[in-house]
Amino acid sequence: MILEIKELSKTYKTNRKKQLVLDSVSFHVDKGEIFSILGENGAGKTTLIKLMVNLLTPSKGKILYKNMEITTIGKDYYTEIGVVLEGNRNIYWYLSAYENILYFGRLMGLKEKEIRERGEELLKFFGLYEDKDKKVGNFSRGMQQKLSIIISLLHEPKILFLDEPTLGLDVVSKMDMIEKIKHLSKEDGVTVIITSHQMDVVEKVADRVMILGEGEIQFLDTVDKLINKYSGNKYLIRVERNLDDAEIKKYFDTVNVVRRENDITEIEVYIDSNRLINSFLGDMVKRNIYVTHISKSQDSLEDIMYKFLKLGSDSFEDV
Amino acid sequence: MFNIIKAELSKYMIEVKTYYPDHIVNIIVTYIFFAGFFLEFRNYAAVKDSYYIGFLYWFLAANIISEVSVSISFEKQVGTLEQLLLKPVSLEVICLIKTLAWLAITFIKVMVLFIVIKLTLPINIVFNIKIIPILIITLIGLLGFSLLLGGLTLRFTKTASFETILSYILLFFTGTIIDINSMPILFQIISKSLPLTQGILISQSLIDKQPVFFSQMFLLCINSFLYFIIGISFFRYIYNKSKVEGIWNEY
Repeated sequence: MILEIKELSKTYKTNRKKQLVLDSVSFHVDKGEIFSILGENGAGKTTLIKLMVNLLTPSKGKILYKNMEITTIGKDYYTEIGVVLEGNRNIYWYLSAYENILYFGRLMGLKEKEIRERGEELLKFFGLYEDKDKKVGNFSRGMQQKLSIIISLLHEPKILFLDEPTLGLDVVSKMDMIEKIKHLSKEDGVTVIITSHQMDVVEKVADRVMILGEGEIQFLDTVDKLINKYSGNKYLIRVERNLDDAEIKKYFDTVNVVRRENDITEIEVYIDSNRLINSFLGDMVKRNIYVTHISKSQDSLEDIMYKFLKLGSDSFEDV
Repeated sequence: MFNIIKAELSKYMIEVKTYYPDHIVNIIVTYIFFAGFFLEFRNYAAVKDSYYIGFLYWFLAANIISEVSVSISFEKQVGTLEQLLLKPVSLEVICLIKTLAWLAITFIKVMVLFIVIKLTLPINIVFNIKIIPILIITLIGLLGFSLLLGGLTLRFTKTASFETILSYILLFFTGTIIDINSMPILFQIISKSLPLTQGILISQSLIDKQPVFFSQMFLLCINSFLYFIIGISFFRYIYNKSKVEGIWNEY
């Protein structure tokens, strides 16, 4: 275990009102893993990251890095972690990529030789070496994001915090970023704590996911377990008849999508019991209604998160 | 520490190269300002050789007192403030080094300005080496003052207009262009408690070859020390408060 969060709470006071953003949250992060924090906007993801990097003071609770409270480690904590916060303004746009590297490397207390060698190595790894003398203002969003990560890795941190690292990136840059993050974790042993709204990114990189909702942990385990636990069997059924809602509800409680077009009804349902499907199909045969399509598939992480956030985790138990 | 100084100096040099017209305009405007005052006051017999020194102090003060808040405001605006907070060196140290780097650049501008003044205006610029320690002690107080304003910017962000007012208060109420002794008593008290006044008075005495008393030096040291301590304490207080409230990037 590299990071341990114990009963962490954060309350903001705004206009004489108290807003509880995190409520007694406890978890740990293992060395070398990619740990993803998920949740709706305002779920407290960024607040949690800022607490873990000591930019915010907790209202209650402790954050331990290698069994030491981060507030007692003080500024030396920043030689152990690298942080790229949300947005594309972690760097100076009027400086070149290399000037940014030199500036932030010097602030980290690194020697010129170290900055030059490590900087060049990372620029090559992230494919920015040829652009190192260009002004960052002329960079694409993906290039700026890569440069922010390069700068956060200059001092070879043990933990890398990435808040929405793939936001606004095109498909190629996003896939490239995913590969780089995986490489950092698996090959270089860097622990990565990542927040993202992009479920495809989380599904591809994360070892474990934590879902935050209403200031509390709603789920914490591996991506596979999340999918296995919450992915109900999704059936897509198409029948040659206009079925109204009441008729469909006789068989299925959790109908996700219903399309009706030219006497055809398309239903998407989430069920675990074959009995319901058999009963539906049996009745269709009895009523001489043609079933032209039936298929079964598993939810993607994106589907699960959508349902999780929209319906809440409890609703899954009923499926 | 040397690394941070190098980092800030290099960055400021790039800024100066990128935005050099702004600096040329700044020197020209200051020259016009100075020439106007000088040529006007020259008509009065009371104007001494030491007149220019007040202006030198004011020019340095006006440039550096707002530097911490200008930097914080800029970093907030471009979104890099939190990156500075995530470095193994405290924000007030980074801000002080930024101010010192800016002071070095301002000093070069002052040199250019005084060369131009010397060449174009009928003014006798007298210099006394003893002014340097006085200037350094005065600057320590100004750095504290700068941190105090920086703390306000950390909390309230928009403090630029306030700093402009302060800069003119320093121009008119520190003996730069108006003799303090000719001011009403209340203004004299306020004036003498400002971070610049004692430094200007002592330096003017040195240039005019008048005696400098121990009490004056003591007052200057106490004044600078207090401003520095108050500035750092206030900045720390606001910084810790901001860590609780989380207002780093509000702009």
